[in-house]
Amino acid sequence: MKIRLRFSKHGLMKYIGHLDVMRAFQKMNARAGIPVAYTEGFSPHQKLSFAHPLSVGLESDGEYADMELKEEAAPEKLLESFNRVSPEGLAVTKVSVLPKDSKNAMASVRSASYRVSFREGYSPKGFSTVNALNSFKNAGSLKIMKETKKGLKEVELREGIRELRAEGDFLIMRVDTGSENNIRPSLVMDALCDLLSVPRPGPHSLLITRLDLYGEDDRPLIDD
Amino acid sequence: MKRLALKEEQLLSLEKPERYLGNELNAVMKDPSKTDIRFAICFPDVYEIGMSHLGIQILYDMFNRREDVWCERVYSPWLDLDKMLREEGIPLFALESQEPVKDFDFLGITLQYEMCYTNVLQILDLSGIPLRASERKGKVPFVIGGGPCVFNPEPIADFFDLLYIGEGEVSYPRLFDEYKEWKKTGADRSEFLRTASRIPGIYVPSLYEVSYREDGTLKTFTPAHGAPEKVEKQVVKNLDEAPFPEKPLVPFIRVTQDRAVLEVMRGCIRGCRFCQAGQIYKPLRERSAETLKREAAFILDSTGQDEISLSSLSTSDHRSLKEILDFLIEEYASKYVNISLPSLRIDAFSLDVMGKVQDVKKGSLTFAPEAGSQRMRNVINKGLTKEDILSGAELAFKGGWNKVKLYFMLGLPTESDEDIRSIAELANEVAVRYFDTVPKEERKGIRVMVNSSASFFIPKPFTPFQWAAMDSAEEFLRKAHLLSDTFREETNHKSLKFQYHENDLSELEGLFARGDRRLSQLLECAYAKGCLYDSWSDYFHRPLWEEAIKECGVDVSFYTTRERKADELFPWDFIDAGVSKSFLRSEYEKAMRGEVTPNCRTSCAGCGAAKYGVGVCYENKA
Repeated sequence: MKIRLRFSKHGLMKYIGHLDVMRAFQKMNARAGIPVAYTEGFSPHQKLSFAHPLSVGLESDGEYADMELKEEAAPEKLLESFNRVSPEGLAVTKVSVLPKDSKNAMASVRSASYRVSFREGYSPKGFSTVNALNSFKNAGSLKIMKETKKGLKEVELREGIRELRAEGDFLIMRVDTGSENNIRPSLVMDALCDLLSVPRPGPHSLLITRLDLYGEDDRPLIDD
Repeated sequence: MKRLALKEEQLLSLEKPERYLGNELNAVMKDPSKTDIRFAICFPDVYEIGMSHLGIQILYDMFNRREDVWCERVYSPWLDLDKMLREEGIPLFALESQEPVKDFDFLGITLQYEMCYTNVLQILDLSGIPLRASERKGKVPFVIGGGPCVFNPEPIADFFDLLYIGEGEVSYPRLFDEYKEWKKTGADRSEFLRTASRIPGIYVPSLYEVSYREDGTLKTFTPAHGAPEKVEKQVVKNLDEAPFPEKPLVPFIRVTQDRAVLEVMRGCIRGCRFCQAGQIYKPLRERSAETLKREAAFILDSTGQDEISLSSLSTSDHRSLKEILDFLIEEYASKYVNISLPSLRIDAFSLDVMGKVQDVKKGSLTFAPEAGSQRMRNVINKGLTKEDILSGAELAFKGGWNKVKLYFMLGLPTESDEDIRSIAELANEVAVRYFDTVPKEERKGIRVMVNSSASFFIPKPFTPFQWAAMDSAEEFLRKAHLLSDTFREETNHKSLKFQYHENDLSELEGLFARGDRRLSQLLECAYAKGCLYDSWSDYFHRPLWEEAIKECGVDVSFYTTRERKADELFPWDFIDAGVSKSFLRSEYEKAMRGEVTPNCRTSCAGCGAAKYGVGVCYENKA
């Protein structure tokens, strides 16, 4: 049976890179005795895949992994087993059984929502979430130079920003994510700062939490 | 979430912030107000190397089982953090509590190889601890060293308050108890050092006076204040009862040895004359099959590692190896756990096992003949004939392997150019054996590969070759080139590959291996010039070392290329390692005559290690 899990990544886990989180899950499976299925061949590995990599430094409430099990197991039991062995800062928040023919999480992702703010003391003068939001609404487009494989290219972000709102000092955004179009939240922040004519955020000056990942139907990958 | 020593944005600007968090699975957190002793245990190299070391895991576990001790880890900050700590004036911190090392009671540093010595100075420096023990006053941690390099601690003795000779399991409990007593009395640092010097295995360098002869050799080595004349190596008597980390640390990032490690035994019966480990870990002691099965289950279940490595100096010599392997294959191969067997002798049994646990097509088999000619192998007492090697290779080829690695050493005592050329000839014969064994139609277009590599021999203390002259850097290079040329002349040279390890470091390693106290000045000088991470070829700065050697007026050849007289007093002679100097000398003389000595199980050679009353020396006397 195929299952999908949603998990959160907080605290010190924000420093652990995507590949290492995958390895941590493999070890969690072994410690918890999860009946995960393995590939055939001489170097078998767990049938385990992740939705969309999260950059080091970001926290998340909405990470997803798909897993194939070689025997049936109750989702609540699995959730309990994972959290019994998970390292601090990593928690499985939901387990659901996937229909047989469903697309994997990685292929399903179309957008992601984030909560973004400036780290204390790093907010550029003249920046406020309200100003940013107003300027964004008034401007017809949001262009930015983006580094691509073919060099610098001007891209239009407007269409890829599906939602942008302010909650106090936080900006909440949902942006295109996945193989077709991928917008990083820091790129949106760069563009908004350009729009406000304030300096762009320097390295590591943003606090970003991914809130959820969404599929084609604009619903979270596990819809509860 | 715990408070970190570095700010988030500082951590994120580092290459691998994961190195400095201390949040690994099974890391131990304690309430410092409820412990009496804060111990920082340090492997003076980068995290990925230090985290791969079993010894640290054993002591970390053992210390933390005590309620009154909190043991935390420290590794060498990588160059990016090194720079940040210096620029921002942040003191080096221990990983678990993230608190400054300088506030700890002890800083314990393991000394696994000589080329980590500048990293030791970096740890002290970044911690804000005075480099020299003589300059430490008041509330500064006691700096204690351990590991194989303490079998000649003299080049670094001035930087340590204490050095622990032998296996840590034995005397640390007493050291901690004595420390608590001393702390209560509020007496001077020197008071504790004197007390500690009376604990078996503890060497307090400041309590010994050293004088030299005019020719530069050691004249006297005299203890004071009741310190013992000889410091006796400490040995665990019963490995089945020794503490074993049931919940080893599991790093998030990939480290050098990314697997569970099962130490199956300590010591070695083989008596190879170049090998220091073979002498200083004597006598051989096994863990029983029952203990090993239990421990394997513990560590795999508590870590979730997908590979387990059976570790020892010569795993084939464990008498219950088959039973242990059968258990692991039976219980864990079905759970997709790989079994790695790093130090097996190649024979029918080991090939059968490896065929079960490894991908034959991908893997290569490693042989360590160490020398090319039989004469040379007899000199070093490597109990291996050419036929052993060739028939081992033949079995491997029949088993489906077509890649073979051969390890050799250059610069062994009495080595002639003929001995060197026979290395290439032996490799060629291994290739010939492939063509003789595997018929053409079964080769499937695959070319057999025989990869030979050579390292340079460095004489080490407590080996029969401790008297021997080491080759000069120029001579090493000449020999390596001679061997390269010979490889090219072999008939099957297309199936042979040869590489040699860089010799840059060998000279310095040789210098410190048999050095004395006068070298501490050189280390300080080289470190001040910026030498650090010397064991990393990318960061080894030969010119800086050359400058330092010149400034300090060190005659390197005195320590390296000079053959010692039979009765010379060595800087490490104050250590009683169990193996007697007269035994080592007789082994040296036998080596010069090309005579071999049988291994400990065949017959006792009377090395002296029997005085510990345990292990292989008593196997058949029970």
